[in-house]
Amino acid sequence: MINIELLKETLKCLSFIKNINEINCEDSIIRGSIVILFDGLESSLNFRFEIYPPYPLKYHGSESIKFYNEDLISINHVMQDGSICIHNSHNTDLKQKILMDFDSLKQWIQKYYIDKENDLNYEHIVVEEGLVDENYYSYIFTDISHTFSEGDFGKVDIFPLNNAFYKDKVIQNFLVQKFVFNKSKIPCKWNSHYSNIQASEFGLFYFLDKHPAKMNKFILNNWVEFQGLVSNVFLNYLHQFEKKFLTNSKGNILPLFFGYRTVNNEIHWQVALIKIGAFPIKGEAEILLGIKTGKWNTKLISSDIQWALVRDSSYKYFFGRGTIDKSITESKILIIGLGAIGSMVAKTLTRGGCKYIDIVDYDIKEPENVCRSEYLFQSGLCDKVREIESLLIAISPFIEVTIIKKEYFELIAKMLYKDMESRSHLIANLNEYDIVFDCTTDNDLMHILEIFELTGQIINMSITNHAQELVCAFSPNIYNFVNTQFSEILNNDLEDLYEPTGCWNPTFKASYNDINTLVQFAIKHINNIYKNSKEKNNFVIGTNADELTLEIKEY
Amino acid sequence: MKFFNQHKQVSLIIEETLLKKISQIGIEKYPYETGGFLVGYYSDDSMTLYITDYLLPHKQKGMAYLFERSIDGMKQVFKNLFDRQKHFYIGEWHTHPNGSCMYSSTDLNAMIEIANCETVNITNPVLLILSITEKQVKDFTFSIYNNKGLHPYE
Amino acid sequence: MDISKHDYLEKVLESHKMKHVSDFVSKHKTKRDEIKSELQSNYTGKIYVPINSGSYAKHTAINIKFDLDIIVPFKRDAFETLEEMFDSVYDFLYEKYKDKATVRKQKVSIGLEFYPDEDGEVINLDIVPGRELNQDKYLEDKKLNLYVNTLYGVLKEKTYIQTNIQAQIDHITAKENERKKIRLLKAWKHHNRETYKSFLLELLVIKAFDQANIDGNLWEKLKKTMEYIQNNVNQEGFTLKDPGNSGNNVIDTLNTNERQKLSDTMKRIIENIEANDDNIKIYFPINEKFEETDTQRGYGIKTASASVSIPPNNTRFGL
Repeated sequence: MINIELLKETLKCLSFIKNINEINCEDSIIRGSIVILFDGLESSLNFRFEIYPPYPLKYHGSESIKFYNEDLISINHVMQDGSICIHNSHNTDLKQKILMDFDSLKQWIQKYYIDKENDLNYEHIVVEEGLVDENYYSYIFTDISHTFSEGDFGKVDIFPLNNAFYKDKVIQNFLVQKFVFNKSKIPCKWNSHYSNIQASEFGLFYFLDKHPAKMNKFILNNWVEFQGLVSNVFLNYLHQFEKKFLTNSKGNILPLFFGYRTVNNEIHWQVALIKIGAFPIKGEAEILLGIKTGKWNTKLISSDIQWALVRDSSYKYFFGRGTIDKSITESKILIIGLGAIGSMVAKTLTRGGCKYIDIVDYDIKEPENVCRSEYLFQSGLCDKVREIESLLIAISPFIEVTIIKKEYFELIAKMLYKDMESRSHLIANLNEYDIVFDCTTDNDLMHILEIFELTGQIINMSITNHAQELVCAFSPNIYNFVNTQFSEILNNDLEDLYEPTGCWNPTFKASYNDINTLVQFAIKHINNIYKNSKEKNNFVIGTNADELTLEIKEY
Repeated sequence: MKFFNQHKQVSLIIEETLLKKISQIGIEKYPYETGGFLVGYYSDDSMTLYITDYLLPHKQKGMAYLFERSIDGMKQVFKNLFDRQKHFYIGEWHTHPNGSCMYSSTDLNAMIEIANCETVNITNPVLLILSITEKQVKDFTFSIYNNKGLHPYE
Repeated sequence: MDISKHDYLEKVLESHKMKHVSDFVSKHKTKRDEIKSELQSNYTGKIYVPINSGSYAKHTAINIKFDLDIIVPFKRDAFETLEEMFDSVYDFLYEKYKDKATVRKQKVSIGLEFYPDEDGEVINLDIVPGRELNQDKYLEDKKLNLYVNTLYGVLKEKTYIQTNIQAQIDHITAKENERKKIRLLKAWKHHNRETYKSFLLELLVIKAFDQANIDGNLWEKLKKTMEYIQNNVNQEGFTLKDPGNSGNNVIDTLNTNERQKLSDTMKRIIENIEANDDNIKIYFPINEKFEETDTQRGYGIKTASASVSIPPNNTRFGL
């Protein structure tokens, strides 16, 4: 714990601190102010500081020391309350940390106050998240393929996602589905699942030509500040709108979307929450040359704006932190077999940014599948395809998932593959896929797919008992390779299988961790092959005796 | 009754009455699987197998799709049989209720295990599978095990 | 692996022998002879005796994939142009066989794929028309010009190639050692779905035997052959002369990447097999259809005479 004496003592070592004004401690928070002057700084600057009890450690992921100067809020990296965002470094030594933090403040002054540097990264305007009736509201949007112009306004269709807790309050999450403008619908580029949900609520939007911000960084917080930014036509529309809905919907919250352009012509939205019956507008008689014309205009009145939370969830940002290679994510993929391996592949590809995954499996998910695959207990018994479909959609709003009829391979392909005409239909169908993951360990299917000689890439994945090895084969050389591996080379233990009581369907033994370690390694290797256009050599991933190293052997 | 196996060029001889007895046991246990051991001896030139009797295990588990037999208490029986008659264990039999008389992968694995078992002195045990319904034996097949494969007799 | 790599490879070769498909081969031969005599009587005076070619004639065939080709040598003055020759042979075969087979123009040959016979078997024959290079010199120099169907666009500017099929056949004659490795590499190619041309593999093996010291047992020889390919095929200046046309460097059918890939593949095969004998089964599988099961007749017992047997405990059987 820091004490005032130590602080004073330490600060004396810093020559750019010209004066230390009164420092006090109240409720364990140390407050004080300092005067800073150094070469290059024309005149001295005053900063208040606050140091919180966890210091020198972080608190909720934020620094436990803050510097303030309300006069500098127009400068970069100063918040509306005058707090300065400095770059702090980690140090658990109290004295060192004090020296580093105050030095960071000096560096901030040099960089942004004196040198007036502009960061290359675009920074979103700072919005204080508002509560309405003790609820937070959030709106998640994505790209549209339409360019709005200043003054465009219309309707926004939204629908609720889950309600949840956010900073200990209830948050109502909404997804922005489409904009309705000039009677045409402008869909947001979500996948068809989110695009086809019946939008149950709506808001209004208005497109601005500049940021609704002061000093280009703090969002406007009073409605009168919008006067002149929005057109009279829109204000009159608001008035008419409120009139129309007043009887039936009084007190309902209406999200008002303000759009504007950021970097690269991207659109960003801010959402103000207004209540029907309490729109921040008033009627004002039009006066011309001192005479009332008898017309009324709508004006904004002075009142605080409650801003909602808004998130840009476009593909670029949603997957901004990492994806697998584009040559895979843009591919049309089919996954056959949704057991442990197939479900892991499906989920990994979805999180990796894949856009088109079709799935097929005839099997049912049972509770005992949950422990080593991606299925959930909560959903009880169900068709595997259904659960994977909803799982993938729950993960990514950009994945198109189509369920292929369970009899497609089990009956149709297996029955008709010898008939030349049917075969050519099947092949034509399957040739729509760029990549087919066969995770079935079904030798018959493996054989059929091989003789089909598809144009796309078949990737066959299977594991031996105890997840000792994962065998991965690429078309065209799958059948011989996989069979020889299992029958001749790998020591696949067929004795020690898991045989549950009451059913006669033995399966291999391995945990989620065992299997997923191999599956992830395999996908990493496959991704590497695609990314670097390497030869698609069949491979086996083996776990060595101590089971702590994985070895990949290419064939 | 005489059967011939092309693969090993060998014959198998069994009395029809013995086969009927085995069938009857299978039908009685329907709809559960059941089975046991087959005993007999080979001709001097090793080209003919005479199946002389069957033995029921003292302990067994039979379900609709599974039959597991134990050899608890059977060791002495096998020893006595050899000491007295020079007859010995030559293979296995079991039923497939409502199934075909095709062997399953479980059956093949069992036969591999048997042939590899140190206390088993024969390299080509035979397997009799009876396909049964509630009332009758639909079909049956004798197969000979050799080198990880089962080859039926005709 | 319970047997040596040498013995294993012998089994691989045995299981790929043509004798296992002798009935199928004789059907081909019958058809081939029929076509040969049809051609001879149709082109009397313009034609030399057709010769057999393809992997079967070269004794490098394996029973999962083999070709019986017919080379049809015409006299120089039989046709004005090579295209005329090619079209004439195609027209003749089409008229003759259109009801019994699919007749199509291929790169240098006319392909006949007969409809499945009563056994469901499909006979495939390729007929390669060629015109002697110099009038009445064929019997002496065996040199032929083949028409190249430009539809196949490999040799864009040229519409013909000069070759000497007989020299190609002679090149491999009486080289059983080489032929064994060629058959093994062909088995590798087919089972592992590699796309290298058989002709290329043939020439590589022959050159390996010619240039490198290839000795030892079957596996050692195969390994040394593959090592030769690994070490040389990616080298600049490496040549593979076509015995039928010395101006033709067959290695040029692969680009630099493909040559490196072939070298890498050979390296991987050797390494994987050296690391684990069983891996040989991946690359050189036995053709299971004709696997020699050296089955001993009679019931077997493990000891010298019969004794008591106690079967294992808790054995499971199931549907």
